[in-house]
Amino acid sequence: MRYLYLLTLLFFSSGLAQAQSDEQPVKRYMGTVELGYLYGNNKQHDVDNFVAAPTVTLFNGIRLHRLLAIGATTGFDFYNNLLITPFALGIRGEMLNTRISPIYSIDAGYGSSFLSHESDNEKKEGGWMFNPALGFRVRSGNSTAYTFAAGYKTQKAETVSSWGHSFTEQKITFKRLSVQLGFMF
Amino acid sequence: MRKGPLPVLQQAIALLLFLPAMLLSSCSDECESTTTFIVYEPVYMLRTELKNAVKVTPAQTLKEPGKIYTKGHYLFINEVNKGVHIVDNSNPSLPRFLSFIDIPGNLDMAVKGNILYADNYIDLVAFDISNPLDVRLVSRVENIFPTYFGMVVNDTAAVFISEFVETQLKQPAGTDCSSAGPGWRNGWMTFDGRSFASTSVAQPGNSSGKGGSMARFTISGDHLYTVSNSDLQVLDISNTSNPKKGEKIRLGWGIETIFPYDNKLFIGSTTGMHIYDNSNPTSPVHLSTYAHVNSCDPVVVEGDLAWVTLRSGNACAGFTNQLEVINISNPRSPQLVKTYPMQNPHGLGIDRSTLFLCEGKYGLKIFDAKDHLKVSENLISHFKEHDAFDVIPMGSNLLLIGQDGLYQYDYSNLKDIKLLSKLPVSR
Repeated sequence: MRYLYLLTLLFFSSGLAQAQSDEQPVKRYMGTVELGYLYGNNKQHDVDNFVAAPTVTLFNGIRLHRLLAIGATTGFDFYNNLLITPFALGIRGEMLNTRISPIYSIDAGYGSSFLSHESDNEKKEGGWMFNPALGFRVRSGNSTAYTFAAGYKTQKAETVSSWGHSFTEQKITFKRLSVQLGFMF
Repeated sequence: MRKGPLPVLQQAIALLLFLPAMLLSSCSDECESTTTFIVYEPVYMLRTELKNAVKVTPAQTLKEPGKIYTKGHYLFINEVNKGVHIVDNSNPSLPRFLSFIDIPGNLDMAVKGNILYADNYIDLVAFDISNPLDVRLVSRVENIFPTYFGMVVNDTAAVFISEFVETQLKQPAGTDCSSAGPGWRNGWMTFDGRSFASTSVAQPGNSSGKGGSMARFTISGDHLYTVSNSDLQVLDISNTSNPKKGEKIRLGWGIETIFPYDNKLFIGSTTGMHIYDNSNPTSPVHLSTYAHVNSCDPVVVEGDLAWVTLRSGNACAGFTNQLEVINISNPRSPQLVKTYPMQNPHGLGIDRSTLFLCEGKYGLKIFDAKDHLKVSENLISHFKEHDAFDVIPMGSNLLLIGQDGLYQYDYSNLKDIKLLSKLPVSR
């Protein structure tokens, strides 16, 4: 299952490279790749513990209007001991048609833990995620651009770890500031 | 030049700079962790309560049968931690429940003459069973058995810990986000009473009864021997209705079963088999210890051979499931002769070279053991349909106890073993 997913991802992104090379007058396709961090306070025994979880976001969508592109978002969020793969509906938009323009994005969906490592005495489950962000993009070519965005990401997850006959259930709501640099094509 | 977009852009960049600061206060993960501990909580019992709880009640059906014991045409079936069923078995095809003796904490029993000895948590109780419908308590030896702590209760103590019950304890840990891991653990592991199953042995012609291979009580001559987790206790029962506390011998940890054969006591423990010389019955002497891997192991003996089963399981640790044949012609130096792999062997019994072996949920196996080196090739029959944990072969009838009840087989013709009756467990 997980290899199939990764393979599809690879196949799809190689397809993107071709799609990108087709210069069209009205570009319907929109894709972004973003790298960044999810920053927040993960309290350990009531002691503040600020952490930054690396994140990778991939978006593929169709541009309906400059202000609205609809598509699918996936990627990887590397929380401590938990790798979340979101499967989300995403919308993107550019405010202006200038070289530098404010942009927005909203992703909402389910963050799955299926790629996360699980041991025999540990169960992990993902949950709903929501990630609005604001930023700006700087055009670098005809249909490509660099992006910078900051937003807020909330992600639900559950872990159960057991030892002997005892176990600990943890219901987690990650609330993180997301800061991402990306490339739009 | 860029009059239009610029103010908007400036605003956006300014917003982006402020955004992190604005959001930071709310960027704190929320974690709600609940830890569920399984703890073993002690149950306290008053000594007076213990004494008052022992009484005879009308016949009951089997609920959680433990060990079995037979004497004459009576059958005694232990109800784990509850008491003893007395069954009239004069017609093995139609056994009848006569009465039930409430004995809290009871796991083992033995009969000599008309007296039934049973454990009552920390005490030994003796009943006159000459009339099974009117059983009377004749004697009580106090503070003879250790509690779960392995300690004998003080004579003056009015209260003792009778058992440990498994309880779930939830501990909400608030907003802590640290990844879960082992925390404190409280309480004690309890042993499954049923794991102390039993073997039978043809005893010399005294008037005592016969127990299974998983027994912790055994009678040899005028002495009752009981084993706890760590000690062998000798009781003088020359006056059957007045048992007297005798010597107590420290055996080490993990003692499970005892059985006498030919002036010797064979004591099965989780780590091996101890052989004691019993020629002076008041004070058995250690001859040797045959050590093996960690597991549960009832023992039976016939002639120069001891048959030991090793199995894995909760209380037994270990990952071995096998039958071992040990040559004990020199009891000071027992030698392993042969090992046979098994599925999950529990109690066993041997009668005139016919070996009865309980395989737990895999049923009962009957082997011809005339050639002790070729036992696995001489399987006579395998009853797979029900759980089996202990047997007593009685010459022609076989008593078999399992999770779903007590079965009696007629094995006078080994080629055609017939089921005579079944006392079912009703839950």
